[in-house]
Amino acid sequence: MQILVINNDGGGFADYVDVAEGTTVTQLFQQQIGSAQPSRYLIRVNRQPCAADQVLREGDRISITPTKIEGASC
Amino acid sequence: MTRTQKTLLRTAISIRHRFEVAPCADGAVELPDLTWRRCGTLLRHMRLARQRGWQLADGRLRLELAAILQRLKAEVSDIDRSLKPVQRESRIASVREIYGDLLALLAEFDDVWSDRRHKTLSVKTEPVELEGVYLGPFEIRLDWSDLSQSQPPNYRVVALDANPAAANSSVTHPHVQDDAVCEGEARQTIRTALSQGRLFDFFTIVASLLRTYNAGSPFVALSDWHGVECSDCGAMVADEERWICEKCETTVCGDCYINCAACDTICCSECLMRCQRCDEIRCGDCMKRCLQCRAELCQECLDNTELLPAGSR
Repeated sequence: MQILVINNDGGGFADYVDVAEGTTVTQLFQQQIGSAQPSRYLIRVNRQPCAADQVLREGDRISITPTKIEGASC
Repeated sequence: MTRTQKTLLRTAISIRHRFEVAPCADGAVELPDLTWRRCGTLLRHMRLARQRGWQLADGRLRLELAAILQRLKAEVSDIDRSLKPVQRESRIASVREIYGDLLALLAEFDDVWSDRRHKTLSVKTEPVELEGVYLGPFEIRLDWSDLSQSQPPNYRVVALDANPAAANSSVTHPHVQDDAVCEGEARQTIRTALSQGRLFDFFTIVASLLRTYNAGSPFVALSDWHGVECSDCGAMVADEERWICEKCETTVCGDCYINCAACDTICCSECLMRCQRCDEIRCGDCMKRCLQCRAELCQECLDNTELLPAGSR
């Protein structure tokens, strides 16, 4: 099935990706971000905060955003 | 559909329409003349301040120049990016998605409002407090008249209950000056979100940035938010009442700074010495050690001493 993944860590790119039926939010996070701590990210499904074991569905929109985004003094 | 939902739907349609008419490939390039001229003006002012011995003004201008140079670098980068072959984002949010974003913003923020006439969309954040410093709520105001990738994002971050830094009233947040936020590591993410019409991501990323303090690169450090501590008496000193010791560059307040009686240099108490003969205060450069008695003396006393025969002392 196809879902939209928005990775706001770094470039903030949005891509449709194919995932297996029954994929959970945690599994998708590991596929997309790797070994980083999930607690350092706010993960939303269809713009809503979600549970780690939430099963994804066709057409879901998942965004992964760091909880701490540092500004500067430009 | 409620009235708010109707307004948001109309806004979503208008915003989506802007992507269709966005003049992103018109080839027009504008050099950062204004910023460059500002650099020149600051340099002239710095030269003048140095000529007149205005150390404090020189220091402030130097900081301002550093900030403007950073802005100039960012503007040059934007031009560089705009000159490269334009690749319009293949994925631009649909009206339905933009509308979904606007509805989600209603649930996420204390307040959301749209001004279609001026083509702005605003959200109000919760009151921000960083490391015990209250900064108040902020309005993040997006001008969506041109969200094309070729232009830098046009949005402001306005303090609604401003508690600006004592050192600089235009700094309302460690990373916000003159209502402009310095995006730091979020720069590319924000541009991508806007160029794809992902407004929910844009607003939540900027709000997240406002909730985060980067101690390594603030306009004004939170530790200095209420002023800088006087190195002599420990009182907090606002920028306009601040004096910088010209010897060690520490901050002293108006009550504690002392001018060297010989060269008029501004000093803190640590950088001053008392002549052991006349009791006058001098800076270290205006004191000399008597080669015979090893006492620290001011130049006048030393001259007088040298005139005296050795046996008379």
